[in-house]
Amino acid sequence: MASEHILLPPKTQAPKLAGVDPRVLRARQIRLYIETAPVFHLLAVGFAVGGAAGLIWLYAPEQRSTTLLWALAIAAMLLVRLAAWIAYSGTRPDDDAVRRWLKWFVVPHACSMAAIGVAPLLLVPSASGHEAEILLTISLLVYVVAVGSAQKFSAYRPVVPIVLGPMVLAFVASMLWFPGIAPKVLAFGGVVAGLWSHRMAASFNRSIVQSMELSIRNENLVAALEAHGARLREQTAIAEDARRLAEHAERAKTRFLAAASHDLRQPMHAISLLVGALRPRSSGAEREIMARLGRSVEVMDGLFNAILDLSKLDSGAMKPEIAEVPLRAILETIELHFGPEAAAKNLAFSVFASRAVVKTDAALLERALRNLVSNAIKYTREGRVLVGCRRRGGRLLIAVWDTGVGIAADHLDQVFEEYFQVDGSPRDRSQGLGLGLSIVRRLARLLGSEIEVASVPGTGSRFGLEVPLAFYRRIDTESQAAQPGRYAALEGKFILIVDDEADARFGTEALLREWGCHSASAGSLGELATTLERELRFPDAIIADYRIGERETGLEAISAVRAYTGEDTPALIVTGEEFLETDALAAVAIFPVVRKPVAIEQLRRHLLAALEPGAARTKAA
Amino acid sequence: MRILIVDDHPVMRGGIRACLHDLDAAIGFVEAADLQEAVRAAKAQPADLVLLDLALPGVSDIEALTAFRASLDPCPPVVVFSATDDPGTVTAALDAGAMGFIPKTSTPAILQSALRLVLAHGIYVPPSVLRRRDGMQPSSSTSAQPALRRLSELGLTPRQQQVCTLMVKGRPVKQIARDLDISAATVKAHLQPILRALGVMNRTEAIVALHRLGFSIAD
Repeated sequence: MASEHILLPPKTQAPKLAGVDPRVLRARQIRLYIETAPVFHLLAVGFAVGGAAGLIWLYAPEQRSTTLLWALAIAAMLLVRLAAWIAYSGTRPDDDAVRRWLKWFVVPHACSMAAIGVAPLLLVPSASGHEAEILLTISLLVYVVAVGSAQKFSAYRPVVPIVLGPMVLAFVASMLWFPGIAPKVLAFGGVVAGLWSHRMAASFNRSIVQSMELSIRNENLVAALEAHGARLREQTAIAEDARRLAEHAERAKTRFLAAASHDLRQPMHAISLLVGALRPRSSGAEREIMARLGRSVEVMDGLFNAILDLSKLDSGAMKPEIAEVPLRAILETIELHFGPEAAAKNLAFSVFASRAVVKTDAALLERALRNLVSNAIKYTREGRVLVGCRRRGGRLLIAVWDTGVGIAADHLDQVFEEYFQVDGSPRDRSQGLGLGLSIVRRLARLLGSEIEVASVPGTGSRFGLEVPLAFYRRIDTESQAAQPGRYAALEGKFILIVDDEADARFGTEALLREWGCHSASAGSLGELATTLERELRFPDAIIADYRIGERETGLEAISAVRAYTGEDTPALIVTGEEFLETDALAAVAIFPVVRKPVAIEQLRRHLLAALEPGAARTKAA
Repeated sequence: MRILIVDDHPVMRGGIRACLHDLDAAIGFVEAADLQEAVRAAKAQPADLVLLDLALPGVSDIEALTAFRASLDPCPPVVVFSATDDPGTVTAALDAGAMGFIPKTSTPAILQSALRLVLAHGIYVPPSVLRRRDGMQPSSSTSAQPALRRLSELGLTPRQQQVCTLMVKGRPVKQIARDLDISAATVKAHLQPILRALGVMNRTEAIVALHRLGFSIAD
């Protein structure tokens, strides 16, 4: 009954968790069974069996030979397991192979246990007077081995009945052979020990299986994560490669365009030179052909320029140089350049002058406006083209109006794309590739603006861009610049400043630049020598601080300049000192003295007087 | 007059040659496709003028000019003839001693008149450089060619004209001093009238101004 229970195959398996391969789980349990304290277990069983055999040897001398055989049989089983263990350790079998190793452990294990169980029958003498002690010894051995082995065989559940069953059955059967109540009680104890061991083993096994499943799931998860990570890395690498490839292609395209348009232009320039050389020699019809050839070359050149511009803009080779630029000059250039072209098409062309000074790159802005005006004239058959400005807060809108064909609303975005030309417009490929506006947009962006466009088909268009406004020129300064007068004497003159104060040098130089002068400065006599050496030009006048550093004076500086140039260079002395020493005063008296802080008007007056042609170079002379 | 044309494109050399020959049949030409050839040719027979392309095999941009000028002493006047025309390159070329700069990107008409100008001892620099300089308006001399003015109009003595011409042709002050056997300070002193008359500070500005005002630097 009890044995029946013990031999029942395990019904309750730990609930299977998703993703755990049962074969892997089994293999691990088998491994655990084989690998759990193998040497310790063998030694423990060996000592227990040896101890029991020793007792029987003492109390039942007539059973000595049987006991020896019995102990040797068990030892042989243990040795088989030890040999199997050594072989197993050397092989390190994989999950599938590990099952085949199981029998080499389970069979000797079950045999040695059965041998222990059958011990009462074999070893107890029929009438020696020591039956009770020997039976008790053997029973204790069985109990200890049964319970003590529970941990060992709990690793793999199917092993539990195979190993435990024969021992308990053999023990109970042998004990029932003996008469009296005591052996029955000891036999019952054996059943209890067997059940207890089985129960313990089952409980151990559950927790072992659970932890194994958990670790397998974790491992699967880690493996899955790693695989995912690897996939992600792979995808990122692919994306990175694609991006690099695209960038490479873009750079290659830019390089190709630059190289191609450069190389294609060489023969073209040569053609234009040859046409120019032929023109004076040709006559009549030939002359007309030459003129057409020349025009074709000019158009082709324009196209190459556009492509080259575009590739330069795309490659980032164009860097704007932002400065304060009077708009007037740019607008005048535009007017001069496009006036004849507009007149040839019978268009009214007006450019409204502006006094605005803007912060921009003059060359790039002019290029953008040229493109816009050229486009406006190209797409306008009759009417007018206007260029004008309008203030918008801190910025200035520069716009080009035309009464041309206009652009439909759904084309407004496309006109800035390369090679786009509005359908229905005069589609004249010889006039352009449709690159103008895409160039303008890139130029405008370099200058920090977007291109604005407003258009009504059939009525006209307005294209504009905004630039930061610096200031407006006052009318009087403009008229001053227009009519050469008070400042003309300063324009282009070279003034040398000697002052040990960096701020004073900087301020004076800025002022002189405003007056149209060139300037250079030095903070000491040593620096002055270097400056004179460096500049190709000799100064037209000197502005010297009276006291330069601790020991040097402006008078020495003036002498140094005059000695170097051999000229009687006019000079001004500026000084912050209220009272000069008497000898200094005498020396200084030959030069005009300007008190610090310098009044701008006074400085200019003195400078103009000093620079006057034929004016006395010094007061004394 | 002997002109050395340095350009790696044979068609380009042919084009320049045809154009210049037409302007003056007495011109002798030497052609070179790279820097080594150019230096060899210039050493074999001194040229009166060198038309130098900046994009030569093996050297890039200004390097072509500085390398060429460094290999020859004295170096003949060099006019750069280049497909680049950005103001930075033009100024750098003038700073490096070029006597003028003709962009190949100019329209054919301007290209021809620029060559004609150079042949007549005039100076050509592209309008992009003129615009960059404050207070200077692009001259109209690029389109129509009025008669070139002579340096003597500025009231220069023959000696001053001589020194000025050497400077414009790219000779450094020290070399002019050595050639004329005078001190560097004296060379500078001779240059003052022209610098003051043009209102400029250095050689590059002088070249730009001479072009703008349409001066010839014929000896």
